[in-house]
Amino acid sequence: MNTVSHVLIGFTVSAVIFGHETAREYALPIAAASSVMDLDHLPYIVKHVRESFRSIETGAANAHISGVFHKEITQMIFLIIMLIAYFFVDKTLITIITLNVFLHFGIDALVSNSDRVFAPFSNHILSIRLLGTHKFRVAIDAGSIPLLAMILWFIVY
Amino acid sequence: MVYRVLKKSAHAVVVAIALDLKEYKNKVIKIHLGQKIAATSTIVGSILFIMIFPVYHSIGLQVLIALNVIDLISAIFIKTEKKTKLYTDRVSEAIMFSVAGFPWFILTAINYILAMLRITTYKKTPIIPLRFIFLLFLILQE
Repeated sequence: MNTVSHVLIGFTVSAVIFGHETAREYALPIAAASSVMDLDHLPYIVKHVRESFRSIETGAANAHISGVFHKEITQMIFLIIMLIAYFFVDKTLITIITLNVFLHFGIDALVSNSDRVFAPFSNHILSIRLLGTHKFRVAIDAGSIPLLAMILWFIVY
Repeated sequence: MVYRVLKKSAHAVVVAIALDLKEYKNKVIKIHLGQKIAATSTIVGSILFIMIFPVYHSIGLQVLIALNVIDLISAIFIKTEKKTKLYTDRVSEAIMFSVAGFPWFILTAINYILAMLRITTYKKTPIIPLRFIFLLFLILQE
């Protein structure tokens, strides 16, 4: 799913769980935690510009686009770092960051393929998409932003 | 001349086989609809649970019970593909227990380490049934 939708979903879930005031207070960490994970797509997109634009048009999932952050071993290391930080840094901040990072992975697993998540130990591509057609993926990417913005507006105001 | 052509063609065949093997290694694990529903419902259920439980305890508890029932059904009736189930379970647990606080946070990290052990070295490494333990904990607390 696209980065803007990830941020909107993260803010909506955080507003429901922690309340509007806390979500507004921690808006920047929420946005950062929801979107930073997508930076690992950049090296592939810069190297293969034409293929990337074609995959946006057709909605075809690319097996090589996922970088280092979308791997299980990185998630494990991140969780251990957050666990150590939990005892020294603001607990709400750590909880919000962890929640939004794993929400990103959860939504990605639902909408697109989970590419080689167990790399370097296993190169299999996992896919749990229920409606896994390319057209559906493009529709989700295009339609999710106004829909989520509307839901967020209803929840916050 | 003939020797050079043969050498080049042999090299091309070797390269083609190597590329084929590389593509083969990156193949998608195909799972059927029941397995997809079980895997999807664990992630969707965990998101629903963290959103509902702070406001409506009883409905949240029912969502957690439903998640455990789905786990049980998928373990007994649906022969779930192990890697997919392993990944979706870990992500859904991380979503659920990142909000739950201190001891659950550690247990989620331990489960991640156990999952990595299962993938790498010890295939029969047990995974802690965190959702079931959390359900028992909530029922005992209520």
